[in-house]
Amino acid sequence: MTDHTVRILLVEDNPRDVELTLHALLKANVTNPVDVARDGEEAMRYLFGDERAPARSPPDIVILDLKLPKVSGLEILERLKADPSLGRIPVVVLTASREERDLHRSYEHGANSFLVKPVDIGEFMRVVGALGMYWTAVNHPPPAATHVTPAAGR
Amino acid sequence: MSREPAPAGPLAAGLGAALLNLLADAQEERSRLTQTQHAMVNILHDAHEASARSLSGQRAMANLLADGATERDRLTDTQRAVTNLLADAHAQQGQLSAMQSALLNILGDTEAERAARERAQAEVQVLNRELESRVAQRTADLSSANRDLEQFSYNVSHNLRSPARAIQGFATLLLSEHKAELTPEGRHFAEQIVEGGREMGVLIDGLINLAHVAQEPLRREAVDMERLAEAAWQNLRPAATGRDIAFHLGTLPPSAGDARLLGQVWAALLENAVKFTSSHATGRIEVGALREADGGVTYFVRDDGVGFDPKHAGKLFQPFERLHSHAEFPGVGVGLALVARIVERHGGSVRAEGAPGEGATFSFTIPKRPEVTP
Repeated sequence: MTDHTVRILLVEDNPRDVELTLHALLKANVTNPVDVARDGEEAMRYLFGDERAPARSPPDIVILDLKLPKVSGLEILERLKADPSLGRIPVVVLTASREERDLHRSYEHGANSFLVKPVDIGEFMRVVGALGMYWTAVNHPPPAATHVTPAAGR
Repeated sequence: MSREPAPAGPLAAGLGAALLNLLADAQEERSRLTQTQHAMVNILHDAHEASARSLSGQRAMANLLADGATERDRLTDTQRAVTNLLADAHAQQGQLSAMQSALLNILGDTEAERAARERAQAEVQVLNRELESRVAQRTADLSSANRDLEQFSYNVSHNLRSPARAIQGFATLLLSEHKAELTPEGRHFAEQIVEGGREMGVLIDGLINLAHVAQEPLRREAVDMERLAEAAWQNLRPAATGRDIAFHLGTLPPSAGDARLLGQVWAALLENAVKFTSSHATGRIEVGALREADGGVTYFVRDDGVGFDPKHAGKLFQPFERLHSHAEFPGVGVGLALVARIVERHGGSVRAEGAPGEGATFSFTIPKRPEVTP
């Protein structure tokens, strides 16, 4: 663990899923800051900036839904993992999809974890709580993204 | 005859001589007459003979003529007979001609019939080909429509997951975070929402599973069925907690197919067996296999649970068909439908045997070389 507070970027378009996810994190005592991007475009802007605004400081973990309006989760994942400075940020895919194709493509694009959102709320709370705990408190995140240069990469 | 003048006396002498001459002449004349008479007799005789000959010739002629007449009659008869024969022959020839033309007609008919038959056969072949291609086209259309429907069902199910979670989730939060503000009736209502949302979620997952099984490409690999059945049983142990279930796993020949899907078959069948033996404290579940003559293998799961009425056996493998109330045995009725789909995709078949109160045996046959159906 580090002194650095792990900041989460949640990319999720469904407002009720956002609320239930935030609630599940809180219930699991994951009190880390969570920024929410509500569609693919917003997530891209957050991560890479655009002509109007620069990128926000990189998150320490991204929880990513795949089915998103405008820009799909897989496109975000691909762009993120190909980026020299952001490529090491762990990405947890949290999706409704159980399609093998999505599973394969997510890992091909460098996803660090793949979770299917359970329909049952009890299960959902358990899964989201466990993921929050693991990535914020159990796992050692990579060194801050700003310190990573392409040369330092593997 | 010569007559010479007699001397007178000479007169007498002459007269005598003349008489003598006359006598000689008469003599001569008589001799000639006699000769002539002879000749005449001869001639008459000859004539007679000739006449006789002529007569006999005439008679012969008559005979000949008579004969000729007879002959002619015979000839006429023969001619008539020949004419008759010719007429007969002609009549026969006519008959023959008629028969020949009849035969020709028949042959012609046969020819026409053959041509007609060949034409009909050709038409039938064309129709058959058309029919085959139409059936193939229709099957392709139906398969495509079926895939579309399955994709649709999959998409709908997927999109229902989030609202179902929201219904169940927020009602749960209402109960946990705002319990104090709720009246007992309010809590009851919230509980019903939670329960309804939960059931909806299970149904949706069932639908997704079914659509998933139909859509996912089927792998073909060697499958250790005994290990799969054992693993499925181990996963079910928590469901059988507190119960005394005797589990007998026989020797199971390996199979070929999709191990992940066949694992789901074992899981569903064993879960079923655990569920339907749950009315007793003890239960017995037996898993075994029989080799079929054609090289396929029939695997079975037998339990001593509540069994079922055989007249409902056909319904068991239909999705969302349940033979028991939720209160008796909870579930959404997807497990066996899933089993049937998976087994059918492996080219196999499923069977259920049982009687009320006498347990049930669910079996499935996987052929030697499973035909992978799309």
